[in-house]
Amino acid sequence: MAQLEIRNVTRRFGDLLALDDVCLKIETGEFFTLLGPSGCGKTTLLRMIAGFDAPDSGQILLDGKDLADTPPEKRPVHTVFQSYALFPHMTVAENITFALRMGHFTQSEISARLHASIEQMRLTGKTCKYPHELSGGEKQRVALARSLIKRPGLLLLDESLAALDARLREEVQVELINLQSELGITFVFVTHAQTEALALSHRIAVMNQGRLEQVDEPSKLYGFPRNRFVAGFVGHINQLGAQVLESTPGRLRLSVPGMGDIVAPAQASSLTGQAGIFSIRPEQVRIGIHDELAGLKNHFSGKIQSVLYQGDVSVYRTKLADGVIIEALLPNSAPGRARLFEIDDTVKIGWRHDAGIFFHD
Amino acid sequence: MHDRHPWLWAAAMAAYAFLYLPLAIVVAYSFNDSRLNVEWTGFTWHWYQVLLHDKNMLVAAGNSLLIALVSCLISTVLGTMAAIAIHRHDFKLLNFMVMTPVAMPEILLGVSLLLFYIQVLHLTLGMLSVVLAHVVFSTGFVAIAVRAALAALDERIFDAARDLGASPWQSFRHVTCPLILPAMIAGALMAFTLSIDDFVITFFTAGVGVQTLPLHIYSMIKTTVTPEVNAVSTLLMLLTLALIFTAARLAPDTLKGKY
Amino acid sequence: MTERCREKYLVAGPPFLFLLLMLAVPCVITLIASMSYPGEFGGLAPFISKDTHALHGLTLETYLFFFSDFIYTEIFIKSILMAAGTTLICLMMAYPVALLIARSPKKRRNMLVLLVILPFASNFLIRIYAWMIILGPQSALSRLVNGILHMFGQAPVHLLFSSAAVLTALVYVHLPFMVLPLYTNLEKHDPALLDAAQDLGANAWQRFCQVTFPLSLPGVFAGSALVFIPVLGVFAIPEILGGTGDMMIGNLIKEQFLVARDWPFGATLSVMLTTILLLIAWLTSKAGAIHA
Repeated sequence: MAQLEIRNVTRRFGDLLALDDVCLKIETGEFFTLLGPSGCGKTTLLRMIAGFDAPDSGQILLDGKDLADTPPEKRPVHTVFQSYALFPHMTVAENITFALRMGHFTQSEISARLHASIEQMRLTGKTCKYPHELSGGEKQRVALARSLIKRPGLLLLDESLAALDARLREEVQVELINLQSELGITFVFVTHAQTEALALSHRIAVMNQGRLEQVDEPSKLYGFPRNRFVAGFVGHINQLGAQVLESTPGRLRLSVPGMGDIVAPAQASSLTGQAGIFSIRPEQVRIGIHDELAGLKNHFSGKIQSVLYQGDVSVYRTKLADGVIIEALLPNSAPGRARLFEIDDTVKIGWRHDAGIFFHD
Repeated sequence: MHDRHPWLWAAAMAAYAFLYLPLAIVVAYSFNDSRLNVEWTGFTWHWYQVLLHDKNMLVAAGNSLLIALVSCLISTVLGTMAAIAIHRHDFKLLNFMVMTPVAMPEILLGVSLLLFYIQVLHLTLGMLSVVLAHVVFSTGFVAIAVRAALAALDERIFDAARDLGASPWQSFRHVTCPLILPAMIAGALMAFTLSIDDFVITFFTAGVGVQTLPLHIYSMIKTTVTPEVNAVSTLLMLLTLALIFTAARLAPDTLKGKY
Repeated sequence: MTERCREKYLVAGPPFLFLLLMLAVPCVITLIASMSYPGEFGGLAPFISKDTHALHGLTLETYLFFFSDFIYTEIFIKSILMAAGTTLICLMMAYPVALLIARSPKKRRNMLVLLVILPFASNFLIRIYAWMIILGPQSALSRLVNGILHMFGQAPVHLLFSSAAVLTALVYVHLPFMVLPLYTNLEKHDPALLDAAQDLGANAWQRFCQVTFPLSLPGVFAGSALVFIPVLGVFAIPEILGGTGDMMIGNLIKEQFLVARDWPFGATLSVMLTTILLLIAWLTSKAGAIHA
């Protein structure tokens, strides 16, 4: 039995369909992420699990029990809020022990748990400080400690890293992963940042306009997106209009305007004559100057149009003869060199026959 | 700074002088050794001593303090409840009802309460009718102060409190209440000030049953003007000044309601 | 959800019921009273009476009575003119103050605003009383004015108990109501707009007329409403500082309730005043919405 089950949950706000018949199962001990653009319904779903909103129809079950009649304060589920929502008039210690003080815990139990929590969250010496005296990272750890003090079975995290700067965010990501595996508590994490979702999660649910687009492990999601939305939302991707010329088992032959024929891996449902989009990740596209790419089934010549230097990697935008632009991503392994190719260099680009995906319309 | 023309300075300073000069004269003449508020003849504490022995004045002052205290307590409770209801439940009708006495000319509230007391309640005008009337308009000022404090808070902390297991009452007691307490106190001080200063509504709802300080000052102004009025004015000014300073310090938004 | 509902009624209930009883009901009573007959010994005649010859029930007689004598309409018109005059003078005095505060360094602004409010820590009656002293027949100002008039061979005038005294005190009492909304508006103006106007060749006066003033119109409307509405309801200022001809609507209402004891007519006057105020509030909110 799944720890948390969302059954056919639908929620409307006036004309807006915030959640459209969402079904989802989350297992005990999972680090599960709801990923999607703002307004996709992920926060609404999270608020429903916490109990701050109720579905118009459908059920939310925790350990097999319907939560419909349980108010937020009675649910064994705690939330780390986006802006942390630390109580401004309470010290760190008072914030962390809040949940215990609201329940019937003995003073000794409270101080024992506080002590352990302070230690675990590296907040020693901060207990008497007020939230406004803390750094962003410290606030984040206090918010986590506060939500974990009652040892909930399920922890909800609402865009909990969004307020941190990029450098700190990476650090906290590592801490979060360690903490989760240490505690064995199920985490349900909401974010719009795909890199964060890929780095942290065991499984990710991609949401768009109130629907679940795909639920999968990070590598599957990235490597085998089920549709154009997922392909475009998770990572960068080249998208080319295409039509199926021939569909054989294991292989598709596509006609791409401006490029001619290309070969792509088969999609079970694609039939000859269908129009759609061929997508390929920039890191799967290779670039060469001579004939080293001639062995690939798909290869074309073009000119480097622009280069985006990003430190570890560079993105090369190549313009093919007929104006089609393809992005390729190459690592900058040679130190001190900003680019492997110069603008206006004539180059060959190509990719393996089993790279890329075709999505029919 | 930008566009701070000398003319602007001059006009603004003239306006400030216009605001302060009359009051300065009232205060100065309260120490004047003459029955007439015409010329400075010498310093004296005489008028304050007269004040201390004026039985009617002391009784009126006592009544005013009692009315202000009771009406401020009731309106603080009602105003806080109203502010929470309006803020959290978006109760528009209540908002309208709370703000109406703040916005309408006092005379209209005064006469309609007079009609209500006499024609419907058959109440003998007195302390009770005045206290209830003061609560009607003070509630709005408390609500303004508390609403401003609520609006400044991160809504999510209330969700966080419930999420962490606090019942609605615990959430109010441990989170909402301590955070809006300064605004509540400021609102209470404001209500107290307004009550002790009120003339128009008291004028219509007091009848002959009760004399308050403003009513007494009114009858003195209309009949026998002596510098005793200046003396009581000066003292009253000091009291309200102290209250307003305290209120402004606790919650800067409180004053916006009145002015 | 039901718990939230219960909480709502628990919190909203007491203030709502209190105001329903002490505000809404009295307002309705006033409306009914305006359509009643006066009682034999003051107050209202009963609505239902066994004596069929006695006046009872509802009537519009008091409204007709209002228009039967032009003196009442005249007092209304004079009061509205007085309120308009007060509003205009307040606007002219308040604008420089608000502008100066808005253009002062940030730390000084609160201080300057407090200085506008502080005089009003004093009792309303004391502020009127102050003008009794200043405008009194023996006061320095009176002697100065009459001295000058004497030099030009004019007869001496009474400053106190005149329309001028009423107007002065009305402005004095209501000035902060104009300053604060104006300041709140002016403070929000982006100073870069004035830089831009200057850069494009506008002089100080042009900058004021073309940029500052049009942008401040919502503040002007808000302040005007805050001054106009209470001024239309005053009775103490004309009563203490005005002469016999300076009666305003407020005095008329007070007379009916406390002197003439014609309550139905007093209620009628209140209802008419309320109607005018609601009309004005509606117009200013419209005007404010257009310019916002």
